[in-house]
Amino acid sequence: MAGEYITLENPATYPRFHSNANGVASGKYRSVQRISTKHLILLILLVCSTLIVSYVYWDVMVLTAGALPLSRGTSLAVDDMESSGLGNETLAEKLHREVRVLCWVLTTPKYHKTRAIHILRTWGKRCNKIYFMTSEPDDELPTVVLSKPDSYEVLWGKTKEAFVHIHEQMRHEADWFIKADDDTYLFLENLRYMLYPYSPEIPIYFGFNYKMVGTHQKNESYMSGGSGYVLSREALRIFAEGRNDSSKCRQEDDHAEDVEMGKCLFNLGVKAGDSRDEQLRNRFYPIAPFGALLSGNVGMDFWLYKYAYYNARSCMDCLSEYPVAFHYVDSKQLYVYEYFNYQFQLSGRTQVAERLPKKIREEELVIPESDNPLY
Amino acid sequence: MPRLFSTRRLFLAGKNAIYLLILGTIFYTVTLRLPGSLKSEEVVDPPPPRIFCIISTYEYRHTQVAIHTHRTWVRHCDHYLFVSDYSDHYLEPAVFMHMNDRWHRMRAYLEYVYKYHFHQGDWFLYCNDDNFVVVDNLRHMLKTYSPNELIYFGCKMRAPNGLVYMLEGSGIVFSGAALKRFALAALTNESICSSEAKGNDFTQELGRCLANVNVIAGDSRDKLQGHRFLPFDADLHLGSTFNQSLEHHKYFLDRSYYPVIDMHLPVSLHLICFHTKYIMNIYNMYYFAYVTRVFGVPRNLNIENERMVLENKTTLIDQSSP
Repeated sequence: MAGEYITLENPATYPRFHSNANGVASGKYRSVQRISTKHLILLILLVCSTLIVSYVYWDVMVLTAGALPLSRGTSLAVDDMESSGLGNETLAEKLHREVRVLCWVLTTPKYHKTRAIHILRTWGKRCNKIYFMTSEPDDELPTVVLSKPDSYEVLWGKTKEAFVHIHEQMRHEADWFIKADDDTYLFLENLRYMLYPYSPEIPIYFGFNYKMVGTHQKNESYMSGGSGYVLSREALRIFAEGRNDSSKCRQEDDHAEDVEMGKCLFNLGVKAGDSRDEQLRNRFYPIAPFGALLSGNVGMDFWLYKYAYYNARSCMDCLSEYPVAFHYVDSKQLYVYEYFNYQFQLSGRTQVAERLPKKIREEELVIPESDNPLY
Repeated sequence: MPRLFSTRRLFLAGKNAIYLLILGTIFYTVTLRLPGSLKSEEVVDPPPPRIFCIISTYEYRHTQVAIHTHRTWVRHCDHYLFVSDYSDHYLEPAVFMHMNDRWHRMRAYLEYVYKYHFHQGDWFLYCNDDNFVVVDNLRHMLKTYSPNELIYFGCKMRAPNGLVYMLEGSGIVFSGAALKRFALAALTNESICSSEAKGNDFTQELGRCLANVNVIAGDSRDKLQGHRFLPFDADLHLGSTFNQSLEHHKYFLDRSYYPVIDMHLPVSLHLICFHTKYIMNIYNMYYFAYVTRVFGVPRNLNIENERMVLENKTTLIDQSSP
């Protein structure tokens, strides 16, 4: 059936209509300015290619946006490990750089090959610097040969000489100076974690606190020598400069080095810090872990319970998750500790987000008083 | 006006019917199948294998040795049972008296566990009271096996006559099917499994019985051939080497199924079982394995780092520090 047409009498009235030859307008009319086909095709091509490119490179764009400094909050240890390929360091490496620890180990030539070398192979390599204070040099160990002989009678003298030597020659190599025995096991990363909040300009030293023996002032404390004690750079300077004062520090070389060190530092005004963690659990321990974990293994007249400055309860939960030092670890046990803490894999272990603690200023430093409930 | 919307065209006549039918089918398949494919498939891990621990002890060792095992790692088993020759407050053992031979005791223990506790575990770990066992790593190892397989694991040995058995001091793990087969087929049949006294060679007899009923002795080493069930003390494996002049070392060196190179066994990072000479070390090892952390050092290594750690005996932090 034929369509119907609109017949226009006078084409001039509707100038936009195209009229055909006999003055009749066609059925279609255009009221809007249409885009030409060429432009339309170009526009569609542009939009489609943008969509394709953004779909393909979506992941890359999200990642590069994530690497901007704005989007990084406090870094988690897990994230740090994953992005280490991009040049970020782990938390442990950052601490290694910022909290420099110089370790020195009291040893003797008799034990160079049976104990000292194993220390170097296990935790010794994690110190920023390590020196073995002994009376003869050794080809495998970084030794410092002291003039004092290696015997218990002059242990205090040897300790003094070692610290003075370090202060004179090596005080710029580190911020903290830790003394250990050759049967001590140290966790260097946890030590740095513990020391991070403190500035090395504070005169302070840490270890396992004991109540001072003999007649002593209130709250006088010394640190166990076996489990190691660590001095700040300022404390080392004060000690090295003040040790010749006979009213403050014992001038003879005998007596227990840890007791004399404690007396000397107390008299010189160096603070005896609290090395426990936030839950007040011990990080330094003067015997192997089972002593702190197993209650009832020894009687309550054991020297540890008698002289501990802070509560020294033994229980399965009584040691920190981030321990720093243990004593009486024989050379084979050093490797066992090393294996279980650094190499052993436990399936199903959850990763914990670790954050650096806040810095503490000297003015706000509070050291709790002795609270041993037993004696 | 042209009749654009005339319904005459939609009338079901001739070809229109076929077109409509095809259209309808397409519509149906698309709309009703699409929601199903949009839902992503959830892959659920099967539940971890349940471990039932059987700890063999004796009355004289209850307070010196077994109680420490009870306080530390035994809690990590799904269920556990102490077997002894006398009762105890804390250990609550199943008591077997008047049996002096270790083979007779082992037969009795396994039969008892099959009778009373078979439903409580998929895998059954038999060990002594001075073993330190990391049960979580055992679960991880057994994840790839089925408890319906006839297989058992331990520290594999080979007797001079070719018999393959597991060392008695180092933990033996049976699959559920193996325990069932042992209890039903082997224990009842004298020709398959002898019931004479065997003394200290009782695990050899166990190996013979299990081989007779077609239970395979599995390989308990990890992907890098590190050993997971270790015969001796942690000190020895990690801190020193075997000494051929010592009798119990020589016994192991002669009979070990896997070759021992350079007088030491490579220790897997996913260790399962140690023997402890000085029982107090169990607390140290338990504390280090489960509780302690080292600040800033991640503990979950991938396979590349594992290999590096095993070869160089060094830590990751050491590799990358300046």
